[in-house]
Amino acid sequence: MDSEIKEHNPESILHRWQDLSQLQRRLLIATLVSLDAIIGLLYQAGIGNGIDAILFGNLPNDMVWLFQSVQLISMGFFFVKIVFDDLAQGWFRISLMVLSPLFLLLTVLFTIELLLLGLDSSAEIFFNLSSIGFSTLTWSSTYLAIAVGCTLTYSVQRYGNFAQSEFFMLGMYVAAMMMWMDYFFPLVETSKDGVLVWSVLVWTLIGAFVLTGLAGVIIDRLVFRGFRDRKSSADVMMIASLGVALILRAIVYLRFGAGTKLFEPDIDWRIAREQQFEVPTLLTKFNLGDRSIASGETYIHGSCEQVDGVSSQIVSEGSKPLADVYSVGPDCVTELTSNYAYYNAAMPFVIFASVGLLMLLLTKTRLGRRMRAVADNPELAASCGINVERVHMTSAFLSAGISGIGGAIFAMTIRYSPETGFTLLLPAFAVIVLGTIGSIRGAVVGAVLIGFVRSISSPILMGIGGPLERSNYANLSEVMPYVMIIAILFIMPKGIGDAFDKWNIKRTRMRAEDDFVPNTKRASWLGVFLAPTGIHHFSVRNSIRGQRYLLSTLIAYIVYKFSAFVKDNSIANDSTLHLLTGGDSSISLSHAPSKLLLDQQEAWLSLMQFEQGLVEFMSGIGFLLWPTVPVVLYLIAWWEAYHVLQGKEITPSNRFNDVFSTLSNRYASISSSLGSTWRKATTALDDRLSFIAVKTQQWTDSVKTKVSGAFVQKRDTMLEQLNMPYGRESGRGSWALFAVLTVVMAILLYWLPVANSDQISFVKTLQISNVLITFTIFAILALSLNLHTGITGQLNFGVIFFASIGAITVGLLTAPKELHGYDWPIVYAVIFSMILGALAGWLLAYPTARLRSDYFAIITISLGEIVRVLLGGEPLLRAGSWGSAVGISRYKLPLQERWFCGSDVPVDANNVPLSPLACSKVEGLDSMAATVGELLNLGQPAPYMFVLATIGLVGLLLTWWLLNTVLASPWGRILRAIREDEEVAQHHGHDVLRHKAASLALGGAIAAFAGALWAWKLTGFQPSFMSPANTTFLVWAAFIIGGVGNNRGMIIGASIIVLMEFVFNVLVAAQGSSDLPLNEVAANIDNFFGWLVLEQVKVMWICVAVMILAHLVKWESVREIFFWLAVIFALASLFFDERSIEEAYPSGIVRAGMAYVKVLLIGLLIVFSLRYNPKGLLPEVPYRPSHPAGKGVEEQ
Amino acid sequence: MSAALAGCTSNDDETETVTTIKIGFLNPATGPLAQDAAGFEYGALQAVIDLNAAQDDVVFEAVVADSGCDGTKGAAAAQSLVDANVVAVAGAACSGASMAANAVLSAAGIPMISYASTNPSLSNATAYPNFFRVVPSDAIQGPAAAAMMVSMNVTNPAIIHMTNDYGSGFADAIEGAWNGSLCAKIGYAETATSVASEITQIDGLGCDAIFMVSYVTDGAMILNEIAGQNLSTMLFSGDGPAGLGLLEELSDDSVADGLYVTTPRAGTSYGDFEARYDADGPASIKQYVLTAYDAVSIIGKAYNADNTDMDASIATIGTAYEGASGLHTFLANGDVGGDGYDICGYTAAGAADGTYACSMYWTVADGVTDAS
Repeated sequence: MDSEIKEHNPESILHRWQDLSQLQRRLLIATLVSLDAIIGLLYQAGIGNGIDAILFGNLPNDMVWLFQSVQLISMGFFFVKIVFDDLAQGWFRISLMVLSPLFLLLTVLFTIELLLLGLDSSAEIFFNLSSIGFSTLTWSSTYLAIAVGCTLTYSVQRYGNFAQSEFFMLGMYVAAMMMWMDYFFPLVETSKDGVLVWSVLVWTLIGAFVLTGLAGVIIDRLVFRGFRDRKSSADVMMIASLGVALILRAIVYLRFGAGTKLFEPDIDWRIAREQQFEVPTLLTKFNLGDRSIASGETYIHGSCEQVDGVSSQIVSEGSKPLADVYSVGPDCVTELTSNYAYYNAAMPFVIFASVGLLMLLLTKTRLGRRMRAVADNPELAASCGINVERVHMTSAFLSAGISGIGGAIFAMTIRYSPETGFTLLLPAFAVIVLGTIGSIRGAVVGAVLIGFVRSISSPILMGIGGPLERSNYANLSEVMPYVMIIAILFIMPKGIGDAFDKWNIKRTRMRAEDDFVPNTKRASWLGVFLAPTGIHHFSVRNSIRGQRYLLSTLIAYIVYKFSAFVKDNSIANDSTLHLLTGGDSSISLSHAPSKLLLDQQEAWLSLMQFEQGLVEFMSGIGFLLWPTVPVVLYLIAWWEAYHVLQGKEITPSNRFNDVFSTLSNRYASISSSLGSTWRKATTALDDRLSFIAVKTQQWTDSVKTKVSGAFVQKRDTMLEQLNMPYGRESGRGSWALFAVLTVVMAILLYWLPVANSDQISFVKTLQISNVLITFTIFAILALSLNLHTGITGQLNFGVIFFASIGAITVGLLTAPKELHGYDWPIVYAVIFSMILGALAGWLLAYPTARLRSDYFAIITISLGEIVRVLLGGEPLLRAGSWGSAVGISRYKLPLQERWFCGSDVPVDANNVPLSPLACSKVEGLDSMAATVGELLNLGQPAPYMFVLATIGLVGLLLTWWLLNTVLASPWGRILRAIREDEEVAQHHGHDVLRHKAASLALGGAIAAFAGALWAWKLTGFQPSFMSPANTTFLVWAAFIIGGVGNNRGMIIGASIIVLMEFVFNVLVAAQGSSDLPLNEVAANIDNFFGWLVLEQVKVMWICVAVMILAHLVKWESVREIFFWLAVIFALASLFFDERSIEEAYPSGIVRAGMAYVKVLLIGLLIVFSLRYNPKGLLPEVPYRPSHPAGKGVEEQ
Repeated sequence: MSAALAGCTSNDDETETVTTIKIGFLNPATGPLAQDAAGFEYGALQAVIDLNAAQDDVVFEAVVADSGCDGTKGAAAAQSLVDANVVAVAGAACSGASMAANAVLSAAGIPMISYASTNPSLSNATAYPNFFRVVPSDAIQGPAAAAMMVSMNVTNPAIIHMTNDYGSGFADAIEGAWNGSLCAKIGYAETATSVASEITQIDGLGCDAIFMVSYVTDGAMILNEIAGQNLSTMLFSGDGPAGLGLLEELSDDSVADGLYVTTPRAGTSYGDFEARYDADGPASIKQYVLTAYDAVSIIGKAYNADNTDMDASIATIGTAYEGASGLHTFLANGDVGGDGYDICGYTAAGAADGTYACSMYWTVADGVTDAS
């Protein structure tokens, strides 16, 4: 082809284009597109403006410049991608890569400048360097606390854990629980005295680590071990973790209530005005856009100049400077400072320190090596004598515990509710993806980067919010991590950690290749002077020892600084003690806060004495380490230098390692001997009691064989007779079960109670319509998800992203023009929204083509979040209100007018057509509503919900039919082939990428239709309707429960989820009213829950009894469950005091929040369904071509 | 709660055939407003207790459903209230939930009185029939807030607002009513964990006042940040944080020193419910606890007015209605016009000695007036 063109027309543009290298081609495209954006932004003469002109200026002006800004910024990213992909290796490329973040920041500022110039507007953006630094620390540590746990779970157990943020949440609530304990309460409830109390904080951190870690172990043992044993895929475990997350959150809601809490170890920690670091700062002010100043007005700079020995602020006329950098106040003397409250600063300190310790643990100890071995190859590790289960348990403990510590310290900074943790999960995922899943070092870098992006985007968004009339844009900083992650994956599909690893490998190789002769003399001299930096080891490329030196020095210094801080801010400091005691040298009962009761005062005194010891100890450590550590390092270096300069050999001492290994050996022998003693004791006991187990086992076995043998035989013959040898997994069997389940659901729907009244049949119709419309929405969404995930195997966590495209487009386009809408006819709007949904799916396929499935999941979930935040922030996405209220409402509803008013709309006295509502009240009007109302004997026109339900049902049936037809075609088999093995499908000549894109597009269009239905049902919506917990995850639950890969399963799954919502609403309503149905059930649930909360000790003993019983009959799983339950209730009875009940249930009555019971149940359903029925209620029916040998195949 | 039970039994003793009348209550027990739901429910249940104490004809009962601050859940919850045969519904709190619940309730001809939905688009009686609310739409408080700042000689204020429905609507209303120059208008997410950069920006721009459009918790966070950064601007806020609850939220009362707020006129607050709530109600957004109490009370009184058409009856009762949250008169579209706002201030010298007092008020007719 190429050569042909060459021969025909060597001068053609196409030929020249093909002659260019990829670098040149890409550069040309990027430059042209950027130029278009620049011209468009500055002079309103870009292609976007041209399109607007073709449409006679019907595009909103904002839309054009928004698009052009996005265009220019994305080209900035494209330039960076060109640098990464196409430039030749070398220093030029590396330096450009290093400078790329700065380049991107400048691109953003440049875009804003052009935009504002084009709009004749101006903006002021402030960067307070210290403040941005603190903010980066705060955000990155928050994200890191969750991300590190996720990373650890990922690297050992290989699944992305959606419950990680719930461990963070548990940490927060452990903090609340410790604060409420009778034991610590006297310290918490003191008045302001200027002295920080440390012991509550220290104990809480320890408690959070241990208890949350234990929770991690319990969940690992009860849930994930089962999946490991069955060798379930990582995706299954990830979805199971979603269920675990729901369960944990529901439990915390039930026990702690929804009210917000704050962890205050002592009120003094929260006095922001006094307890803070003051740090000098540098302020940079950017004046972007129009910089001219009207004549007669002046601009006062922040920076100062000296005139005749007097310094004053610079004043300029005519125009403002682009940037103004200053570090002093208006008087040119006082230095500007930034403040960092102690309670905020504590968080990064604690989290980074614990992550550091974790990294030391993983890299320097045997445990870490074992964990890495298990991560790499569990079978091999097991055969090397590593107890794999124990390693899994340890990793579960550590990953949960470290998030728990993070949660506990986070709880000090802000009021939190059980939802708070979840809002941090997605950015944490962005962090681990950025840092390459599984790499802790990568996670740290990723966290700092993403924290920085979030911090720096805040001032920019705030600065431009005013001039662009988009003050809600501040919200966008929330989604910057997602934007960032999408951009970065686009540039580096495998994340930073991977890039770093590659670089490291290359460096090692290059080092191995060049022959390096270490200069020991120079090293010795370096050691003599700079030993604590480890530079003498680095200079001879002994980087491990160098790192050890540097780390020791750094740690010693940090601990020293920290202990000095503790000493200054606690009663370890004499002057502070004097302040507290009013001059006395020691604390006595008379200094106790007067608001405490007498026995509490005594407790206070003993706690304070303990506190004294603790802070003395904490402040003592630092003075022990510093300057001891550097001095020792110097001594060693001098000793080494002496030997080297004398020309003697020195062999590095192994004494440290020896001591270490003896210690660990001794520990191992002790623990093993303890273990064997315990085992001996228990086996002896077991032997004596084994006759019970044997007897019961014999009995159960005999019963089981009898019953199940008969049952199995009967079932088999029945299935044989019914011609469905594979049961649920044969076409006929699947249909039969589907029919049975449908009938069950229909009965349940019929059962949904309605109170007796004169319009009971009308209410029942309304109720059924309401359930059906909700059900059809979820069912259609589940069908779309099934196409994406069940059939094509793409882990789509962005169901709501596609649905929202439908809802928003239809809502916007059909809203009246005077309310910021576009007044389109409904049919066109629906078609357009489906096209948009398809387009979004299609476009999504290409950039994500090379990504792993979990990366794809995170990108899709991020897209949903981005749209959610944009819906709140972008005025173009608002309609339905005279002002600019958030959300979309007042859009047209399909057939509403025709339904109530008939084809001939009646008019009122003023000849104005009646509204549908008015029509429904006109007696004897010939409308569809009246006809249907009469038909169903409702006594009034049928409700509009009936129309929606009908549209929904027709839509559902059509979708179902369409999908069944499409999937039965060869294309359906290609998609399944792609799901099973992408590479094989590719080898067979299928264009995998195109098929995937088509699948995404088809599913996207279907979901957009469901979105339109949803919008009509809501009649108006706000961004909150998009929260993933209420939408995407529920559809996922339907998908899992129903049966992956089976469209019939989707219908059943969706109906279960939707009916559950309605049934639980009956329970919620019944809780307050005695004559409503299910009142007794609700009361029983309440009583049971109250018993669990109030009688923890009894519950514990019952659990112990059940556990013993289960042990005797050798029912392992039950024994394990009740063992852990007993542990939980034992701990609960220890930690929960009366105060926790007062705080969690302000009314004084312990009541189960039914809404949370429902969440708990959905979570349990997901976990149990995955565990015991992994293929769902209606599993996929595999394609079984009829074999020539007929029956013979089945017998095999 | 025990009072309600006692009331029930005594009624049963007197007359055997007392009918139970159900009042629906949509409560955001899950979702973003979950932490305030306990307070709203307290308001509603207290109203039921008071209604039952005031008359012997019927026994009122509140049927509480979870609207989840979300349309989908709101519609399902509304359905369960319809199924339970309620005479009218108080709620929902969030505007999105109110809209979707209205689609169900209005179909069944059941009126609803929202106690917290302030979205202006709900003012349309055709799109949202049978809908009332005892909170003024966002549009009304703006002029009061602007007038308060003018009366204190503010020239260049910054508005820092939540980006939710309430926050952006109210901020727009203040901007619309403010005649001079606006120093800045900065949004923050309800879920924000820090407002440090927002305050830095305001500081850098040299604004002379800060108006916070916030609730109690985030209001406290902003005040702490302002104090932490040593800003010396004047401080204002709307009805969100107004009341003593703010001081309880603050560890250090002195950060609220000099803060002035607008709040629907307490001078016209009737009954003792406000005092009872202050004494032992659970922490919540007080303004909406009072309106929740009023919404349920109006429904109960409207039912007892012996009018078969609840809609018309609510409109009748809701004329110059003396509620705990102020004097309410429903307009034709179900909105309340508002009876002016009190202007109240906080003073505090130390960490625990804060006081809260209302010294002025604002009305459409007279502007800012001294209360004494």
